[in-house]
Amino acid sequence: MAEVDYATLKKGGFMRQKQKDNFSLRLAVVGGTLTAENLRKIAEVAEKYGDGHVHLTSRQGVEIPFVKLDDIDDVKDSLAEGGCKPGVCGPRVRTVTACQGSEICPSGNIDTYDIALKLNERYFGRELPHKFKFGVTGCQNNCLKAEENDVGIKGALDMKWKEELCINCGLCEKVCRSDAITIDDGKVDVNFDKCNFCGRCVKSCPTDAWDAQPAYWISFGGTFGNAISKGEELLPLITDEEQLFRVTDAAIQFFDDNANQGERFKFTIERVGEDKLKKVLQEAYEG
Amino acid sequence: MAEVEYEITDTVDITDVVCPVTFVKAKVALEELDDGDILAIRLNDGEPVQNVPRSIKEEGHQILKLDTNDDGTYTLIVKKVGD
Repeated sequence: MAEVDYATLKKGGFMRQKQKDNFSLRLAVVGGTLTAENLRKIAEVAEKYGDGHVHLTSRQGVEIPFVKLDDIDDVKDSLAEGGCKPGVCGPRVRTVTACQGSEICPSGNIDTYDIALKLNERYFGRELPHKFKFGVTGCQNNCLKAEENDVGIKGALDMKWKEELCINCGLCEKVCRSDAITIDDGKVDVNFDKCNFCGRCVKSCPTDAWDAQPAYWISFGGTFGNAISKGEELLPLITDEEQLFRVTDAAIQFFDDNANQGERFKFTIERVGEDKLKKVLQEAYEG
Repeated sequence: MAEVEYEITDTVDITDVVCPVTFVKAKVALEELDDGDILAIRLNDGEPVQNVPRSIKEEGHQILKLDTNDDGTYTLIVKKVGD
């Protein structure tokens, strides 16, 4: 038998198991979304080539354990028929995770799946000094835990009050968790120093008396493995998608240019200096 | 500012229940009504006033007004939309 190149297998999503010549095959899943067709094929492959079970990973992925070394090519071909591809492990851009976002969830401020697909297209599998994780959450409820990621994106709403539609019910003031809204003589006043753009005022408004546009908070340097650290927001609110991708481009390039092998983003930031990253990000932010 | 004329068809008090029954009770009361009828809902400060109006809006009904009562409760005026 030819010598096994475990590094290549791992890159292609085949995780070596304790059991000799058995692999747990990680599939590429974007934003936790699979079609029924994908699932049918995964079930078929798990029964035919695995031991009939699958594992759901902590990052919304699917792994099929107990795939045999000799079957690897057949398994890949079979999965491709159902529109499934192997994922990746190792030092590169990993699965992009996402909550359901504004297309499904009433709380969602941004189309998280669309952003996840675009991030995936831009960066998935890109070789880097260490693993690099993106996560996209739709709102401040943070179901997807944005700050766990090397780069985390959180949905917000950039909003402005529309006086002509307001019925002065006062709900926006009552639902605001940041005490940013005061109503004085029929005028809604937003204190933008306090506002975190969570969108609760917009969502609760009976007459949609707000101009509201999707916007993004972005955090850098989160990690939740051997070391635990929360990603930090280093920029003001991002108000359009193009600006968002300029910033993610700048962040990943900073990591690529500055990180030592095997060093997570957080430690690169600490070693090189948060100010240096901030400067690069600020330039991208301003375009 | 847009003021709306209306005549209340029915009232419901949801100050005697807690989430999620608050919304359920309001929803059931709305189901009893016809399209275009007006329901007045008495609700408490805090979680009920923060969540019930939004849920009713998301069900597609039209909120006309929120009045503050002397006893610290609110009265939400809702126009039923659809059957």
